[in-house]
Amino acid sequence: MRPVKYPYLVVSDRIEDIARADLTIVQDFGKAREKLKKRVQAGAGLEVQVSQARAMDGKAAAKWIAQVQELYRLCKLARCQLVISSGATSPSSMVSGRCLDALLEECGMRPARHWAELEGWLESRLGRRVTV
Amino acid sequence: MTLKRREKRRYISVMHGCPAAEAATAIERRLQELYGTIALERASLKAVKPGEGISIFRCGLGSQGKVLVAIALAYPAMATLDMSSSVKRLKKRLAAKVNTALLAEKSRG
Repeated sequence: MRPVKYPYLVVSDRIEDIARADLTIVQDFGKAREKLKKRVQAGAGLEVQVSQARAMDGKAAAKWIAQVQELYRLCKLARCQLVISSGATSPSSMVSGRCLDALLEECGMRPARHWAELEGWLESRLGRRVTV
Repeated sequence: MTLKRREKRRYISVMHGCPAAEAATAIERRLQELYGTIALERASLKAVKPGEGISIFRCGLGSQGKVLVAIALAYPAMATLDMSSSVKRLKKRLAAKVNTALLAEKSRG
């Protein structure tokens, strides 16, 4: 594959692709927990989408928050990056920075630290592929 | 001895695709589901300027984090646009944002 002149990331929603993809979307951490623990590698990106939790009832949404917290701990141990995205398909389903900060705090993360780590991870990932 | 002043408030502008009343109910419901009835009452959440597409909500300063989480996880989906300590300043900033968006749209064609 030839390098291109724009930044891009390879995203997959299959845990099996974790070694090949930059970012793997975790749909249900409860089910994927064991598989993730076995396959996760340092430097990998794991994405959770807020849109998943929106469709849930109150109890499941609270469980989702607890699972994001657990996933964050796993990411710390495995030295990989947790990415929280909106998963938006329309302007009104986007999530603002302040809301994301509040969500991060609810999940036991320090927002400033999280954004700094994410910036570093993105630069290292994109730096591998993009030619200037 | 001085009387304790009332709690400071935060005004949040929210963009929604559903009617304002439905958006307010969705936020209240999520706040109650996640944090309970006491937290909902303490938040003193109120729609101060319900509108079509964009509404302004008011909440207590101490509950802003919980309200923002409830907005992020509310269904139907809605997005926070801005937040301020006064409704006047929020409206001013909102108007500037809308103007910038309109200008950008115009320049695009």
